[in-house]
Amino acid sequence: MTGRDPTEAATDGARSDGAANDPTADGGEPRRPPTEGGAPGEPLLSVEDLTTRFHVDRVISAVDGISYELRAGETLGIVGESGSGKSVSVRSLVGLVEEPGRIDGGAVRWKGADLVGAGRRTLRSIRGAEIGMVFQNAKSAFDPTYTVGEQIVEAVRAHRDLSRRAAREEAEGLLAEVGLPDPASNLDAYPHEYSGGMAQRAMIAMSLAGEPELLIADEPTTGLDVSIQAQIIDLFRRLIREREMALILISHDLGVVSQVAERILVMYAGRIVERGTRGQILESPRHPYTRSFLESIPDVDRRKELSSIPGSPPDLGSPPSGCRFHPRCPVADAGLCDAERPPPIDFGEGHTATCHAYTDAYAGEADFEAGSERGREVTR
Amino acid sequence: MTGSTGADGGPETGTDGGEVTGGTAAGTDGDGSRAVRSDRPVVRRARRFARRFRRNRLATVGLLIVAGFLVVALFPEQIAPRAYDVTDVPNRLAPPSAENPMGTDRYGRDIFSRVVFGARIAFQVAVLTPLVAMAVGVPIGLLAGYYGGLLDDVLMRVMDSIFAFPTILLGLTLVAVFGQSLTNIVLALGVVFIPQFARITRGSALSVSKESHVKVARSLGASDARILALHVLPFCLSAILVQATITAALAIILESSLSFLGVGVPPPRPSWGGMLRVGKGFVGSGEWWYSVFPGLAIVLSVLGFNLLGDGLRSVLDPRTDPDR
Amino acid sequence: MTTSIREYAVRRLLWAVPVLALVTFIVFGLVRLVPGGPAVVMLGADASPEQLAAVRAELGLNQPVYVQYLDYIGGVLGGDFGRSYVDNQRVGTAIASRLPTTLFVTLAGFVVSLSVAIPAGTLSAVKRGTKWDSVGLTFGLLGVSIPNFWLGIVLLLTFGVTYDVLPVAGYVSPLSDPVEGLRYLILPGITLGTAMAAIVTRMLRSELLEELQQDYLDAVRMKGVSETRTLVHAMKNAFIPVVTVIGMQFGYLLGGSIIIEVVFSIPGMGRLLVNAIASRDYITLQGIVIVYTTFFVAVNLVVDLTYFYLNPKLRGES
Repeated sequence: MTGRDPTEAATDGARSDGAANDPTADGGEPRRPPTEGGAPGEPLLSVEDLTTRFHVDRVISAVDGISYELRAGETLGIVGESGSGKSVSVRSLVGLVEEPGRIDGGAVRWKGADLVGAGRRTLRSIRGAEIGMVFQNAKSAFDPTYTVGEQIVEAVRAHRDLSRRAAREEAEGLLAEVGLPDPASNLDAYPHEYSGGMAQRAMIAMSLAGEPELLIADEPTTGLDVSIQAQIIDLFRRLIREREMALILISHDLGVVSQVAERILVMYAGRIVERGTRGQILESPRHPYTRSFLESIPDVDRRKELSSIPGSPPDLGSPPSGCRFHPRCPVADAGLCDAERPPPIDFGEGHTATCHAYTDAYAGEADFEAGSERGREVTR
Repeated sequence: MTGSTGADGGPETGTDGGEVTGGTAAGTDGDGSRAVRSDRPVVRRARRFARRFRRNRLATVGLLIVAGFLVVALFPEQIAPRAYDVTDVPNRLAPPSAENPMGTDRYGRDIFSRVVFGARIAFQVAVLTPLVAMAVGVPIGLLAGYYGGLLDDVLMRVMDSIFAFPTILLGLTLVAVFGQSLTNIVLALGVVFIPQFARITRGSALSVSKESHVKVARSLGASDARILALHVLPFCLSAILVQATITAALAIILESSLSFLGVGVPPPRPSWGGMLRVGKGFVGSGEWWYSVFPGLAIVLSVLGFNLLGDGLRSVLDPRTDPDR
Repeated sequence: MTTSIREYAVRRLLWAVPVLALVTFIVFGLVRLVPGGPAVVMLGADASPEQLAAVRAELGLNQPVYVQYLDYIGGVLGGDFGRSYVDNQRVGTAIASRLPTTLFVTLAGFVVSLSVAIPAGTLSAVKRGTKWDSVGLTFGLLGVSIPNFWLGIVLLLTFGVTYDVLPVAGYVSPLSDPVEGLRYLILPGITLGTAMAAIVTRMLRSELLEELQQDYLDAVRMKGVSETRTLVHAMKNAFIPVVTVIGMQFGYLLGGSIIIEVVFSIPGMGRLLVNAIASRDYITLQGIVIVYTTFFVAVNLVVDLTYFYLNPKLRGES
């Protein structure tokens, strides 16, 4: 508990030079050692070819074979537009997908054990205690008929055998840890009495109650004021450092993700189209979608026309054949890109993108150079 | 709840705000143009409504039942094999047979014929009671919802004090005081249901009054009466209609309850409740048909109105239907 | 400024008093509207003018209505409801002796109704779309379409006559003999409670269905809480509007108990009321109606307070 003054955090986040925004450059502090998670060096979380579909009058393919790994203490960002499947994919990790949706394939290995198809009891023991989750729109994530304190206490007592008083003290400590002023009286307030930013902090506090090793944050800053966003981002960075947690941060806002995440996955239409470190993604995006995505971010400093990605997100009930981005891709090669699913191309040091343009079979117009100027100016 | 449109695509009922708009309000034409009541949009809307209604099976069944009873109520002489007061004492208390499909009562009268004639009273009550209740309740609701403030408070307090009476109690008291006749009963029952209509209308009126088109009309100098009649009332109509079917069903039950207690329409006119009143006395001696059949008639007619009301509700405002 | 429960209770009480006053005044006034006035009713249409005048003077009927009303209310608050026209017995005593019976009958209906409605509504919502749901919905529809007195008669025919397992008429107070008392209350309870059960089931189902879609339930699950507890969260929220409906239904129970008492020949206030109407005993009628209505207003008050307690959003910002 550092009891930081929130305004201090705001100025931290407002600085725009690279150093303060690099989560690993923490005054020389060494990278934290991996915590439990099987043998050291084993990934904490391993997603293998996860496929989730919604079975209504037709079949909607929301997540189509994604795979990635996460080690203890790592931070991973997932970016994509609405409908890209990022939310559904993380909900699938913890079994929050309900009929008519279901996981149709793949595996989710948490510390080696597959969570897909795991029994309710297994999932329950993991939720909260090992994996925590923070949602968008914090106020609606609380039950309006109980005080915030009661709900945090419920979270605490779900996994730890504490008396009510001890649990309440824990809850108070958690609220203080997330930077809420006057935790004692805020405990007894109802969710509708909280402001947006306070509610988000409270929800984060609640997700930490079980002391999870992995925190998943699904659009945690969307809908908040810019200044509050910055505070929440700083809060995340402090928490994962102090608690040595892994973090998966999901957002459609690349700026937010890039301030926290070491590695980034770019998702489109249910698939991962590019992955790499934040430096790689921001400075040398390879996939046409990532490039267009970066291009479309408005830039205050450079006078430039607003550009957007033409077309609209695909209908996942009948998704485009081959590469799902091809209808909107500026450099698609008809005959190839609409016929075959693109292979992953390795650009070295963990940077991959799935795109035909880097293969020999490609006969289109693209002639991509490595690197892009856009990368540096994305961060705020 | 899915924010949904009709199954045949396109915005159906009012997609703006959240008020109950039903198929009668304007503003659902794609370009958002306001209520110029030309024929074409109205006809289109009516057709859409009819189509969706037909698709809702329960509502259609309800409508058929109600229509069936209407026919019986209008033409009992044609349908009943005998007049309701033809006695045949040697044949009294006879069980159901080909001759008397529902058996005979204690005077030998054919119960089936009496049930058929009883439909007339039931229907008169079912139709007139909501009308009476609406005539007073809707204006009260409109005024309360539109003007708000002190008027709203006062009107609703009065409504609440009527609402404070359990319905049967109120009906009983009113009829006991003013005497038993069909008119009095309809009036008494109508009074009982005024608060419901007032509340429903007030609710719709309240939300509509906040809409911009009302403000526009007011700023253009339209008189309040005109605004109420042309802009506010149409939005309340679907809710009122649904309430009317509910009231019809309740009125039938209430009237038969009163007749059962002996405070309903006086004999010799046959009322279903009255028949049950006498029939109950024969339960012990085994003449079950005396009590069962008139009761079935009540159940069927009430069911018809309830199905109709449910169907109307889901057709007119699909958002309130949790099964969409 | 948050409103505490106490403040709200006081406010509601103050509001309830004028409503009650208005209601009792209406009843009082209605009775006096009987053609010819109470005196004619008592003595008959062919009484002499002197006799009528004497009775009127004795009963204070010549005074202005509001004076009469205040006199009456004063008496009521002291327990004096006047004397019956018919047998000159104290109305207050008659009511008091029958009140517990009516309360038990009403309570029986209430208990039956909720014990059916809560499981049925919950099951219907949780297992939505399945057979259970259809059963629940059908029950909901039929329950409000069957008049309670007919249901009572049919139940009587089946369980009282054809199978002779339950009593057909009469009443034994559960206070004096719990087992027998219960036997006498089963059929009346079922009859009275069915319609209300149907309504509450429907309402609970639709509220719960909507509630189960809410976002906070996923957050609850992510705390590692059991699915049952999650359901409890949803139910607590869904119950809030249902509580108001239950309150409204209590009025129905009170009124329905009148009919049930007639059907099952139970000597409660309802039977007394019906007899009073038949014999034109308006003073008794007046007293009984006032008692019923007071109960109803009191129950509504309790319902409002419960609603206020359950729904924190009503208390305002702190």
